Amino acid sequence: MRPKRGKIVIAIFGILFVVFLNFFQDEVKNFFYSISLPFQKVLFKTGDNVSDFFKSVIKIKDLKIENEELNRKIQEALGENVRLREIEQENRTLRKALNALPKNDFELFISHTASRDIINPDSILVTGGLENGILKGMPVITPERILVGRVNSVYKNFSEVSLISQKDFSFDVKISEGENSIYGLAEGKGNLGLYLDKVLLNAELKEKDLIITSSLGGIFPEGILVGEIRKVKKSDLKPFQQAEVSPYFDIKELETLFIITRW
Amino acid sequence: MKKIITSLLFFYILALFQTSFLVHFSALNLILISIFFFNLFEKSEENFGLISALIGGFFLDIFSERAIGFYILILFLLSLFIKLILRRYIRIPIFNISK
Repeated sequence: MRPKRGKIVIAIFGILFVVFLNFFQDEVKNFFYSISLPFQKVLFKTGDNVSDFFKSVIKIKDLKIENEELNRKIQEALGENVRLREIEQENRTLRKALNALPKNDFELFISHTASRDIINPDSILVTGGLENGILKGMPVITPERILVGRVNSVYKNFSEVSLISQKDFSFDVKISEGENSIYGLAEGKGNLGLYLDKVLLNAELKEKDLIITSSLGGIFPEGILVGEIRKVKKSDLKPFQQAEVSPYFDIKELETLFIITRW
Repeated sequence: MKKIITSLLFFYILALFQTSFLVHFSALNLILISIFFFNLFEKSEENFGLISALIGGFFLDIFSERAIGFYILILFLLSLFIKLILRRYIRIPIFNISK
């Protein structure tokens, strides 16, 4: 009888201890993240290198084709760059003339990926927390200004970021088509997937169309690259058209990130 | 006690390895697999599988976005379920040596 009673007492203490830990969840998690960071950094880098090595061995056949394709894209981008510089110059001149100088760009905090969530692939842990002025809801982008996600929870020195592909996460986006913009809602579907919804049926969506953020919902700043349309799904039975979207960020390459602290 | 400290270290290293190294390769959950095998291959009268479920669940909770206790409960119930099935319905002669 006694050992049974002892076990029940231990179980009750165990449950109470876990409940108690939840009141200090942020501190407990922050403590473990802090002591783990040096090891995680080394392991993350090593894993990245090993994975790159195996990838390059597997993909060696496709490298030549990819190289040619990339060279072609570089040429196109250079041409586009020159054109955009001219437009920028023209824009500055016009702004000066209108006495409306461009606003300051974002205020950024440089952060690094510490680890990924064990279960949820759409969540990552990054460095920088309350001590660095990070708050819940701040947008996270890559150095190439590609949208990654939003700060979901903040600890003392770390923050948990929900990727834009997180299930049930939605935000306003637009597809720029010259002067006309098509507006829609990007919705995460989990497992690094994203789709576009609430686009009017008369709007013309095409594969490879670029999707950028819109400031309509106030969640993200305007004009940050999100991804491109992979497949358009149009049905007369539905009031809106949908599209599958390939996010531009590569989860395996997310190392240095920027948290937008003010925009 | 020695076993518990060893398993604390073991699951912590496993969680680190999982969140930092293995994320580049696969979605295998090493902690879950380890707990499954610990419970499967231990003698039916031992309870180390249950303790390892608590420890493994704790580290899963720490390195995931869930509240502490979520995976502890899930893994503990999973271990209990495996033990129940093994005790009641399955006899593996190698692991259940009769006294």
